[in-house]
Amino acid sequence: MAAAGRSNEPLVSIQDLTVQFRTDRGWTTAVEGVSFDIGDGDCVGVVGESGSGKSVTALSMLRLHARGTSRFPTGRVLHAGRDLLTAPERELRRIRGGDIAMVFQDPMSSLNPVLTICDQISETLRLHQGMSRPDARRRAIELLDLVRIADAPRRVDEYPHRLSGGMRQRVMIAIAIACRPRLLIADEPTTALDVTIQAQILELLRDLRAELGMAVMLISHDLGVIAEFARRVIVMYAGRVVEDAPVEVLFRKPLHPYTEGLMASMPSLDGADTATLYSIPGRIPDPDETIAGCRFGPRCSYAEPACSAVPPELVSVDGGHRVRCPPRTRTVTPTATGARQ
Amino acid sequence: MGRLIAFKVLQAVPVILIVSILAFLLMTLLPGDPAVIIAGDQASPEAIEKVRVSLGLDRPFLEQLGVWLLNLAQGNFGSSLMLNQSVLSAMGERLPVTLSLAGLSLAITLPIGIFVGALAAYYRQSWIDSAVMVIALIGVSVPGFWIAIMAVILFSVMLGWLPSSGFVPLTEDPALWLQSMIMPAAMLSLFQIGFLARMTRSAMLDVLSQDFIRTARSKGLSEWMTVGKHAFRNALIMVITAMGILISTAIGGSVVIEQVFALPGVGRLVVQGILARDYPVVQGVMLIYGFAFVAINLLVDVLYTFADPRVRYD
Amino acid sequence: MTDLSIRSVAVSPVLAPRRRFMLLRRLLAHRSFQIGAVLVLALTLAAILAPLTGVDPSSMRVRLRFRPPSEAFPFGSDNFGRDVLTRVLYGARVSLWIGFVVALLSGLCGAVLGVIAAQIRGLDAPLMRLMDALMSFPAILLALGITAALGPRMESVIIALTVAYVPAGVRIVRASALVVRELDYVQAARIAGAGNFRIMLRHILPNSVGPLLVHMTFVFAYSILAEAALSFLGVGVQPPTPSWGNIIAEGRDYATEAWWVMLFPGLGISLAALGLNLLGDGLRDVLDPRLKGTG
Repeated sequence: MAAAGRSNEPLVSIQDLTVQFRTDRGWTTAVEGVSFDIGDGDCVGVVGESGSGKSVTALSMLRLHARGTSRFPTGRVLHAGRDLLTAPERELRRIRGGDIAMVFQDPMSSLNPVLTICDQISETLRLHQGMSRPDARRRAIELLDLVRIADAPRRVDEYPHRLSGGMRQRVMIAIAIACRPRLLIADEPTTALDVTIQAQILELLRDLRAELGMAVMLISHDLGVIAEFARRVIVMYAGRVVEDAPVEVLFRKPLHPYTEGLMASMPSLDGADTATLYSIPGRIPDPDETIAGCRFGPRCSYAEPACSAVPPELVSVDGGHRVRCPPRTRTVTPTATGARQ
Repeated sequence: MGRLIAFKVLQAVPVILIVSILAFLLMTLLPGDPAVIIAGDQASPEAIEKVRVSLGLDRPFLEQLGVWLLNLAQGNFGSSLMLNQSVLSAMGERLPVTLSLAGLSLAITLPIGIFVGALAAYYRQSWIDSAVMVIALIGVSVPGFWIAIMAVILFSVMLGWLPSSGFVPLTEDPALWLQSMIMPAAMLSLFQIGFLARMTRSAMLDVLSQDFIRTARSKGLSEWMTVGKHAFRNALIMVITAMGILISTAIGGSVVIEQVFALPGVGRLVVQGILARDYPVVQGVMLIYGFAFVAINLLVDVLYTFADPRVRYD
Repeated sequence: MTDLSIRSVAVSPVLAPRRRFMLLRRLLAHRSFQIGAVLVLALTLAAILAPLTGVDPSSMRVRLRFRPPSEAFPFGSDNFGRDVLTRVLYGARVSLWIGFVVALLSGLCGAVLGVIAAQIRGLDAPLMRLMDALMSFPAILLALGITAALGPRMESVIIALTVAYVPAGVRIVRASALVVRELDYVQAARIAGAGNFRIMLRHILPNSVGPLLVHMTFVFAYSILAEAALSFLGVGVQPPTPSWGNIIAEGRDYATEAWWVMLFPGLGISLAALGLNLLGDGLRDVLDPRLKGTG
C-alpha cells in the first residue's frame, strides 16, 4: 500500500481531466476539464443527470474503460505522487482494489455468476495481501459480517444468483473494502435497489467510512441520497464540473443556475407549491453537440451574451465553493479567479 | 442436482422412442417391396408371399411397429442383406475407425478452435481478429471432401508423405495409426475449427462486455486472470453447448471423409448400404446413431449444468 | 430483472417504416454484407445466364477430352469431352436452387411450427420432442437416410435437407416467440380481445423473424455444402444432370490428368458458401444488436 498521505496533500487530485471516446464518427469528448480533489477521509458526492460524465470520471480514475475505446488528451489524476492516467499497468493494478476500490451500480451483473462469493472476495485478499486460501476464506466471512450479511459462513459458498440485490451490493462492498482501501468510489450504488434497501446500504457505507477511516466518493443522480450522505458535493453537467461546495452551502445557497434548477425540480413535502413540478427547460446536449461558450447557456435564465462567447472558468467563491458561472459569481463575491490547483 | 439429471434422462426417453418410430417409418417409405427384394425378382408369387409372411409384413401396421420395438429392446437391430452378419456386428467392426477419425479430429479442433476464437475476441477489431475470422470463414465455406481430395493428391500422390487410404488400428501400431489418421482427421477438423472459432469469439465478445469483467479489473487482477478465469469460465458455457453440435458434425462429416480416404468405417457402411439397397443396414445404423446422439446430447446437457451454477436448482 | 440476452432477440415492436429504412441502410453499409451480396448475386446471375454459353452441358465430343482451359474450353473439358464451364454453370443452377428452396421451406416450416409451439401449450411438448429427435442426427446422416428411402434424386435431397434443418428453425422461432409473447404490447393486444391467430400473425411472427432470417441465410450455405457432399457420395443429384458435387466426384477419378474438372466446381461451392456466410454475418450484426461489433 502507498505511503500515508500528509494531511494537507489530497489523496487524489484530478486536474483538468478530459476523456474522449471512440465512436463511429471519430472521437467524442465525454468529459472536459474536470478538476477536483479528494482528501483523506473525505466524503464527496458527485451529482448530475445521466450523461453528465460522472461515471466516466470515476472509471477514468482507475482507467477501467474497455481497451482501445478511450483516450485522455489532457489532464492528470494524481495519487501518491503518481499520475494514474499514465502509470504503467503493473502499478495501476496494485492500486486497484488496494488503495482505491470501486463499487458499481448494478450488483446483478457486476458479480461473476459462475464463481462463488468466497472465491470473488478471496481473490482480492490473496492478490493484494498474499493470503493463503484458508486465511482468505476466514477473512471473507469476517467481511460478510462486517457488511451485515446474516449467516455469513453459509452464504460465503453460494453463487451470486442466490442472493437478493441488496445482499449482492453488500458483497460488492465487502470485496471493495477487503484490503482497506483509502478511497472507495461508489458509482450509483443504490440506484438499482429498493428504497428501503437504499437506506440500509447508505447507512452501511457511512458506518464503514467511520470504522475504516476511508474516503468515499459517492456518485448519484439522486439529490436526496447526496444530501444525506455527502459532506461536499460536486455538480456535473454535460461533462463539466459546474459547482463544487460543502453540502449545506450547496443546498442552502446554490449558485450555478443548473444546481438551482435541480433543487427547484425536487418535489417538496411541505406542500408549498402543489401546482406544477418545475423542470429545467430544454434538454441535455449530446456529447458531440458543439455549443459555443457555456454548455448550459441555451437553458439558462441568467444567460448573458458573453456566456455564449467564451466557455466559463471554474471560479472560487468564499473558500471551498467553486462555481462555473460568471453572471452568478460576479454578483456574489468579487474574489480572485482561476482557482484550479 | 441428481434429481435434475434424472429428470433430463427421463426427458430423453420419449425422444428415443420417437427416433425408433421414425426409423421404422423409414422402412415403410421405401420404394419397392422388401419381400420382392429379398426373394429376388425371379421368384414366384408364392415364394414372395412366404418371404412376406416370414418377415411379418402381412401383419397390421401397429403390430409390425410393436414387434420392431420389441426387437430393438432386445438388441436385435436386424441383419444385413449384402453382408452376412447382423447390423450390430457389422457396425461394431467398423466403429473403431469412425471413432478414431471423429475422436482425433475433435482432439485437434477443441484446443485450436477455442484458443483462436478467444484470441480474436480479446484483440477484437485488430489484425489478429480479422485474420482469424477470415481463416475461420474459409474453413466453414470450403467443402471438406474437396479439400480432402486435393490434400490426398498433394500429400500422397505427389509428395508421398502420407498414405492415401487404409486404416491401421491404434492397438496394432500407434505410429502407423497416426499416419493413416492424421490427414483424414485434419481435413475433418477444418470445418469444425472454423465453426468453433467463430462461436467462441462470439461467446467471448459477449462475456468480455459484461460488467463483472470490469469488476475483476477494478480489483487489480491481471489480464490473464481476468480473461482466463473470469471471462473464460463464462464463455465455456456456450462452448459446451457447441460441443453437441461439434460431435454431430464430426460424425456427419466422417461419412464423406471415410469415402474420400477409403476408410472402413460406419459412414462408409451406410453409403454402401444405400447404394446396394441394403435397408436393414441403413436403418440399423441410423437407429444406433440416433440413440448415440440422444445420449451425447444428454451428456452435454448434464455437463452444462455442472458448468453453469444458475441452472442447477431449477 | 429480465434476461437481456433473450430480450434482444426480439426486435422492437412492429418496426415503423422509418426504422425499417434505417436498418436497411445499415445493412447495405455493412462490409461483410456487401461482399457477400456481390458474391451471391454474381453467382446467381452466372447460373441464370448459363444457357448463354450456347453449349449443351451433356454434349460429348470425345475426341476433345481432357483439354486444359483454353479459348474453346474456358474451364477445360472432361473425360467425355464435355465443356466444364457449361457444366459448372448448369451445376450452379442445381446447387443454388436446391440450397434456396431448402432455406425457404425449412424457414417457413420453422416459422409456422415455432409460433404454434409457443402459442398452443398442448402442442409444445410433443412438437419439441419430435424436433429434439430430428436434431439428434447430423444433417448429412438424416439426409442420407431420407434419400435412401425416397431414392436418390434432386427432390429427395430437397425434402431430406429441409427436414434436417427445420428443427433448428423451429427452436429459434419458438424462443423468439416465447419472449415476444410476454412483452407488454402483446399482452395489451390480448387484453384488447385479439384472438390467438391474430396475435400470432400480426405481433409475434413479424418480431420473431429477425433471427430466423439470419438462420435461413446460413441454412442456404449449409445446404449447398450438404447437397454437394450427397451428390459426391452418389446419393444426391444423379448424373448426367450436373451438380457441383457430382462433377467433383466424376473428376476425382482422373484428377491428376485433368485437375480443372475438380477445381472449378469446388471453387463454385466455396464462393457460394462464402458469400452466404458473409451475408448471414452481416444480417446478424444488423438485426441482433447484442452481437454488434463482430464485423
